[in-house]
Amino acid sequence: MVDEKGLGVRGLGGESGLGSTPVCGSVASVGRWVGVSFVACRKAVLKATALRDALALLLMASSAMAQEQAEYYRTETYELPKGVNFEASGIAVLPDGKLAVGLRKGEVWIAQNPGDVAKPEFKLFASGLHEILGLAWHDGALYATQRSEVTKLRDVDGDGKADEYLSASTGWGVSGAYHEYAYGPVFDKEGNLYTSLNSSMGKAWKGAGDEEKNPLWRGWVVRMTPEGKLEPWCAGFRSPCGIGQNAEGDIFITDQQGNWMPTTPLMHARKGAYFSHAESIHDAMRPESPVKIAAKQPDGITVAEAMKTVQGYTPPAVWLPYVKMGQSGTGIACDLSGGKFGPFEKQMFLGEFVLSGVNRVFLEKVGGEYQGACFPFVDGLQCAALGLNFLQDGSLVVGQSNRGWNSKGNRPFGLQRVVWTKKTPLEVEKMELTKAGFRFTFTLPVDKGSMGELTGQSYTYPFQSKYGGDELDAKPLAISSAKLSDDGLVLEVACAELRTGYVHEFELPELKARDGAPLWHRMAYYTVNKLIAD
Amino acid sequence: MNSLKLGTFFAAFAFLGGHLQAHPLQAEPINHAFVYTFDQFHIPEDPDESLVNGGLLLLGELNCTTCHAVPKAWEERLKAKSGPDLSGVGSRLDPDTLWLMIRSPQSRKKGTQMPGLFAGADGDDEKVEALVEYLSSLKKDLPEVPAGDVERGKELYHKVGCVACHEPAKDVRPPKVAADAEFDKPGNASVPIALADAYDFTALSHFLKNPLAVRPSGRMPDMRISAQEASDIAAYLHIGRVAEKAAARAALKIPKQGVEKGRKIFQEMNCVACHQMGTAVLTVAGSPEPASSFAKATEDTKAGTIKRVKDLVVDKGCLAEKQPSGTPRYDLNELEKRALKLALTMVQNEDAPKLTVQEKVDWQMTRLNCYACHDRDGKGGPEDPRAQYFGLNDSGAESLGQLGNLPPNLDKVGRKLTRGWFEKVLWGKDGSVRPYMDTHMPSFGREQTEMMIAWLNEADALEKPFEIDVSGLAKHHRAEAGRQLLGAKGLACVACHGLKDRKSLGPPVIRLTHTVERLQPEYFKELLLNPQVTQPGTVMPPMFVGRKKADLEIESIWTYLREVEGQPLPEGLMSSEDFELKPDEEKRVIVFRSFIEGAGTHGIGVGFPGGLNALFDAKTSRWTVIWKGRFLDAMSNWQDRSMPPIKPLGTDVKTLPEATGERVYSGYTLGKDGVPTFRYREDGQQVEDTLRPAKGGFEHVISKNGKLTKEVLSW
Repeated sequence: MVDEKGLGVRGLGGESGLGSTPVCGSVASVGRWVGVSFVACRKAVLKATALRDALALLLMASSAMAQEQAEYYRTETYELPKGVNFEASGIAVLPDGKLAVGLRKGEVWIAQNPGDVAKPEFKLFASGLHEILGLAWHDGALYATQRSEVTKLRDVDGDGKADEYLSASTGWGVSGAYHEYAYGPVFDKEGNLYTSLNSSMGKAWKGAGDEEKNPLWRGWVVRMTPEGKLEPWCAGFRSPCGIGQNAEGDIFITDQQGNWMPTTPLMHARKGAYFSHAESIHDAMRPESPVKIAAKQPDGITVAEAMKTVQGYTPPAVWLPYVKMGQSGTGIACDLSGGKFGPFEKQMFLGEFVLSGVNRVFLEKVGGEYQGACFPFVDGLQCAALGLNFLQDGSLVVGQSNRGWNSKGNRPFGLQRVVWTKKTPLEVEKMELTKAGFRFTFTLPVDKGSMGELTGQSYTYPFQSKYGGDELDAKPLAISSAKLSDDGLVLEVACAELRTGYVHEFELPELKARDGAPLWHRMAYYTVNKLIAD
Repeated sequence: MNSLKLGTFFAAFAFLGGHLQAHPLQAEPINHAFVYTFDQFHIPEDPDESLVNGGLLLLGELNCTTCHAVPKAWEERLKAKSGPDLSGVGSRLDPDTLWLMIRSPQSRKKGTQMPGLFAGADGDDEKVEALVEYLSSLKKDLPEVPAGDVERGKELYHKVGCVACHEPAKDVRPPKVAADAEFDKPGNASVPIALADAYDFTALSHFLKNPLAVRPSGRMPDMRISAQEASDIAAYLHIGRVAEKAAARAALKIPKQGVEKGRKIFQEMNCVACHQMGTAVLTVAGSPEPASSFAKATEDTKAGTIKRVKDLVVDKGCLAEKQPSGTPRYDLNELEKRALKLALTMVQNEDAPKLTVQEKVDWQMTRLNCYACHDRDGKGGPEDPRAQYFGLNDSGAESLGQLGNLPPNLDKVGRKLTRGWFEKVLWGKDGSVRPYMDTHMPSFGREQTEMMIAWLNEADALEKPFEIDVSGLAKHHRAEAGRQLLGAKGLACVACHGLKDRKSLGPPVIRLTHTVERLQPEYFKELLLNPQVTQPGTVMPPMFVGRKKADLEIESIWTYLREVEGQPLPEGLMSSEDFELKPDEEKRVIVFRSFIEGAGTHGIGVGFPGGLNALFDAKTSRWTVIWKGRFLDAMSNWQDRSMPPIKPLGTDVKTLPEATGERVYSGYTLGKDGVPTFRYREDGQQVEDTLRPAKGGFEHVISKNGKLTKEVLSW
């Protein structure tokens, strides 16, 4: 039988937080979502049934939007090799445009013709690996991240199959606890190889030897230098399932709701940063740790307070509010297609496990730090999204598997891609912080006549060892003005009170483009960590 | 010669002349227009208020309302049904049979619902001849059919459900009746099979394969049998067949009338009111398409040639005690006449009563005779003398009792099945989930059944449906949790239910493969929470009584079944060999990395064809264990959520001594033969380390800075 207590921790997929644990409060303060209004429940903790109704509304809303979605972004499903559980977890694109896919069962397949989903011509490239959760191409070789090693795979004799399985990075602790996932890799310009490591969160195995008691660097991002040295780099992660880079090559991580993680964050990883999950603290006490924090951290304050009081704490660049924006963030891909994927060039796209979709993030630097906004993007995928990457033709490939967790898309595995139809949706392209409030820039000119009332609220999250967390200290936004520019592209919103450490959630009016097309997604969530200095 | 005498003459002739010996399926002759459910549900003792429903049934089933228009309010209820499609009839029946059938339907086909239209008036003989010529000209090429096997046909006929409506043969004993025991004959009359022997064999086989093509009304439903099975039954129906000769036709010596004349008569006499003609058939010589049946009937009604129901005098015409010549002859018996009179009076004087949705379902089930096989809310189901023939092909299902061979009770079915599954069952494909049952659920055609889905949904809806969250979003919605509940160590559902290609551990009840496609989730929960109340008579035990987390568990099971494709099977169904890695079978060296006992969390197993295996620890860079026989089970890596450690499956497990030097692992390469060579640095020197099967065990080859050492590992 399943030990239900075991659900208190989660890893790769992330539990949705419904049902047995009383962590559904984040929904309580939701007044409207995805264009659907419902009467907010005033109780701090919603009953499961009320939440279910809310979810039903969410699902209804999303199905109503499915048709709209298909107008702008088409989802295509790959024909997969027969008889293979194609749990696509790692997606890499080769210089010649071929698509390499790592599977959780430990195989790498290469599609010779990834532009044709009906006949992608997958060929087995490598097998026998230990739960691949990431795949990358770098400098003439494929790199597959296994539980205890990043393995460099090469086909030296040119027969189409890997014959070299060399260890490219290893040395972190593996105790056999089942959440000890390893994700990645990504490479920086200097050739350092980065791997994000899940916290152990589970029972170790006696057969693991020394590592049974103290597996090193769990909940960390580690890097292997070109000289072959494994360095701890930054810490405080719970289930850092997504690791990717923005257009500038900076490294970002998605994590998943649970202890010390009130909802899915997108974090800018850099040397010495610490992001809140306490399991990594004891390794931060090691002399080689670049993370300088206290041995104990407060439990049960708010994120906004932690930003002020917890030594070394780095807040996420963006919070993705629970349920509203999904329940478990996964892979990261940055659109460098030069416009082939639509109007969101250089923005990041994040996989979503439970809701089986993809979200979008806009980032800007304020006070030298990344922060920004997240927006719903596509949903209705056949299965939980895991690995993401762009093909050379600008389509977004989404690898999928829901082994071990629940997901709205009910296929157990698969591979799809999201293709821009060349029709530009009316959408918030950018949401920037201004001195007075926010500046929304749209992808298309907005019809002035469609302007209506703007509403919103801001809230922070708990910084706590308890699982998940409600939206806290919520207040309606004091919006004093909203001015649409003459060309209809820019909306300047003045907001009396901006709060650092708070998500600023907006529901935009039912705006219309000049051809009458409605605003595709009306919700936007900006995380303010810093204000624009005078 | 008046028609009555002629009829009697033909009856005797057809019977004696056509069949020297009666076919074993020949039931007691029925001497009235036969509507199965009328006879089944009505007896002379019926009070008027009950019998009137039978009359309404007859108005529709005998197609009275095709010609006699009913008030608008009654149209839906008394909708006529389509008669046989006569396109291609010339390829099915020979001219003599057609002649007999047209001249006196009741004589040629006892119990027929077709009225006789030729009482022997002047010119009738010529008209009949012209019709025969015309209909004989309606040929249709039919693809060849397989040869049939009489014995197989006989067996099929009795076990797949034909006997729900038709007569069981006198010489076939129900399967479970002892050789010397007596057994009951059906109490209800059977639908006569009176034209089968006259049918062309190929045409009969095609008809049995797809009766809806000829009889779109679905009253003879499509039994979903194969072409071979259709031919087998056709062969069985043809035993003792003698070509039919209409001696009276020859004696009349009517000259050829011409096809065109026949076609005109066919229209003038409004045969098209009942008979569809397919498409191209009527366009003989560029003549205009005939009006559609109902339009034609309406025209005639307007013209006053055919009376509307409200203008009919209820004890005249075919309802008169002695039917006047020149009116369509149905051979109604006294009970039918009484019922029809009651019904006509009702239609003339009252608005159609508004039926509840439950009554609508009952009405359509009565018209289609779903009740021949199914019980719903205490009505219907096959009578025992017929039920005893329904077959069972899996002795494991004997323990299910009647659930094993009898079609299911339809109580609550409207909240049980999904729309998609209703479509499969009623007119689509692949809706069968009871492979142990020989009886087939026939297809009655979409037109006859589609409306019932919504009716059933409404009729069976619960005021307060069971609540089940199937969004897939809730935390407990883990397929794995559901899998464990289904498994032998959970609730052991697999004791009775198989899944996909695996049989259950016990009796072969419905496999769970299509549960989510098939069942409405609310019903699934209702059933699981209280099987006996939900499906009285079910053999399913109440597994969830007293389980505090029943709600969550049922939802977990639903999630598993929803995502079952690609998931491991529940324990008990899953064979331990499902994920075993077999170098011998794959004829290659298999390299497999996992958590492996004997090598730890950095273990790499190497299995060689021939049954030698070894483990390399990529952390300490050494061979740790070698063994013989079976290699490793990949289940943990390939299917499990939690990646539990695995262990060598074989025998003679030998642990190797630890290494002495400081080693740093750097990977492995695969040779052309797939054999891995492990690479590491030992005390700063590059080492290549290979195990390879050799005589007596493994040959262990180590190359250190280019210097080769070899040893043989025997154990």
